[in-house]
Amino acid sequence: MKKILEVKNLTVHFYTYAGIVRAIENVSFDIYEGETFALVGETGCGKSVTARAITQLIESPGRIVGGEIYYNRDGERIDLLKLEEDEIRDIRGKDIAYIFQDPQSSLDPLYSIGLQVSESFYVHGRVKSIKEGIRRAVDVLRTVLLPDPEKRVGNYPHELSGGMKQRVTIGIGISNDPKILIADEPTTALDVTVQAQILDLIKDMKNKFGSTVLLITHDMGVVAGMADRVAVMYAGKIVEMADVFTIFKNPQHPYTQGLLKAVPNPLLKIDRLETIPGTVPSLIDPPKGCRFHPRCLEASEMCRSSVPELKEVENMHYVACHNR
Amino acid sequence: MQETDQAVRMNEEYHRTILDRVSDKVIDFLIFFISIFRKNWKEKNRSRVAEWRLMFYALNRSPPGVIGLSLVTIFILLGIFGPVIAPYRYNYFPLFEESKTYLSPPGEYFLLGADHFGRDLVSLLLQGARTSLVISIMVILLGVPFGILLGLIAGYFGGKIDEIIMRVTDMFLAFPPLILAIAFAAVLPDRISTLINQNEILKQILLWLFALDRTEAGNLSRLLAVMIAMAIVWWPGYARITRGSTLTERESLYVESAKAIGLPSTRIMFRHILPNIIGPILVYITLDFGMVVLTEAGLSFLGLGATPPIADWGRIVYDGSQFFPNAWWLIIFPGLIVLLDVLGWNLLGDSLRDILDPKLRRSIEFKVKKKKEKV
Repeated sequence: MKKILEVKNLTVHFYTYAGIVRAIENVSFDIYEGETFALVGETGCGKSVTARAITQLIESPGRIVGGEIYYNRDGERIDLLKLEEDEIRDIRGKDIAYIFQDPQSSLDPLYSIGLQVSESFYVHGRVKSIKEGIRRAVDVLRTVLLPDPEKRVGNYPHELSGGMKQRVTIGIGISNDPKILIADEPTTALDVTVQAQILDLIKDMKNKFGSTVLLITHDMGVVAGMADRVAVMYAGKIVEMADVFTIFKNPQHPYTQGLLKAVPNPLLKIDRLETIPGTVPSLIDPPKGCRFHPRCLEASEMCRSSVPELKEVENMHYVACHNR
Repeated sequence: MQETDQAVRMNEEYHRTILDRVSDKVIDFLIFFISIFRKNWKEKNRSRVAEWRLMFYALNRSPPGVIGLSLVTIFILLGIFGPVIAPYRYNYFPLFEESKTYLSPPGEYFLLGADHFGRDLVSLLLQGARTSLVISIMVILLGVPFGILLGLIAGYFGGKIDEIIMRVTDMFLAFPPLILAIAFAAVLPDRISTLINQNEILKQILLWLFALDRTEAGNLSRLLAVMIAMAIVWWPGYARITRGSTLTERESLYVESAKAIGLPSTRIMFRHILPNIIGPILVYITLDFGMVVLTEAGLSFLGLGATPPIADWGRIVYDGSQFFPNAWWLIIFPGLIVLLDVLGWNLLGDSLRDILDPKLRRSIEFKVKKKKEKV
């Protein structure tokens, strides 16, 4: 399989008044063409920051401190972090598109949805005028199964429901047939029934256009249903990475094990769900050594002092733990 | 009218006051006017028109707003048509024909009395309305876009650019605006008089704007200087509020999505951020307009800007002050006019804040009356 995106030692820091927040440190992973790669972890572990760093969408006070991100476009190997502002702008939306978490606020309230889809055509030179783009927007909206697209194209975001808005944002995402679609918690703000529809839609789009999907979520159910390969993040680092079956069948890292135990199993009747003791550490002053050791049951002296590297325990199964 | 009727065509109907009917007529006329130029406009913009009607209904529910709007409308109309409907020209001096017109009190020769040239005070005030309106609008047109532009850039890019722009803004804000305007207005006329003399088109436009005769061309530079001086003083406030709103708007998710689909910064700034923050700025402009009128009158009272025989409210008060209290009408009437003008803009601005915000507007309760069943 061909690698389409290679992230190497990506480090992003946020320089805030409270101190330097080490949001992600030395994150490395590869995404292969045509797969669905899931980044899993709890809130604040750096999933979204990783996704945004890919096209330099990190805002001040954040800064990409180090690392390389290679994007393979038709045999050409581009380091996305070295591109100038107007070069990366050409990649955004055209090669790498985003779907954001909250459809309620990711559409501009002042413009009709047709115009917003059209704008994405227009900036990448697919159409000559916004008006022409609005005609093509109807097709896009039909592709994302928005009911009655001819009429809906002139609607404003406040006239649509949350699910419809998310369909529109997906429509904007796929409007330029991107190679990589980054879905940043696409279902978090939606009802459960709508969640399933949206996930199906993303799957359909992936199959139809053959694009690669980077899925960011904290929902293990979504991971099981969607992903081919999974990377588990904790406190700004990847702790385990493997294909989806291995992660669920044979989790190696204590954090992954805890995370999976915290998911209710409908077949077993239990009184209490297991939780991971403690809370996520502050990233301003992260624990020395393994960042998980204060909450880990198996922590040893080594875990407290030295940082575990990501190492391959089986074929394509990487774990960052001293005890494995 | 049909649209609103359809919207509430049940047993109930909004109780519409006389004012509502008037505003509906105004909007109907507007629709008719637009339909002449653009076909199908009415059908396409039905919801927009309904929104306009609602805005007016909301305005009609607040008496200060209605008073403000009427005052502002009156003063704008006076500004436009004042010099035309004035009984005498501003440069007609009855004193040369009839010496008794010198400071004649109200009612004797003219309705509101005469000044020391025997000129009719009503005509002067009407002419002054034009001067005041033109200068105020020009100050807003020159100063506000500049302030908004700087505020947008500072707020959007942040960092060093923000620091530089805002520190310059602070420097301008640190000076008392009137003092700074006086300094500029005193220095500028000499510099720009050659510009006006060389540029015939500019001269004609200015003469037409102020409704002046050609003989006053030499004094145009003083009027232009006041405009420029006030515009220079006026932008920092707008840079401030625009930057503040931009900072909050920049963090919103739709701006981030706009970046994520690869929109260039200028497009995000002007097409997405600016329209979203323009509401508070519009309210501020309306509130500020009164201040511009007042400052302009103040400057001309201090002897900057209009020189006789060009009529200006502040100038009339200044000239009249030498004959106070015998010729009290020369101070009371222009003062009242300025007061009403400023009051009108302030009242309007205050109620516009409630009306332009769709959420606040919806909370205004309308009285519902039961419609009589017609079979």
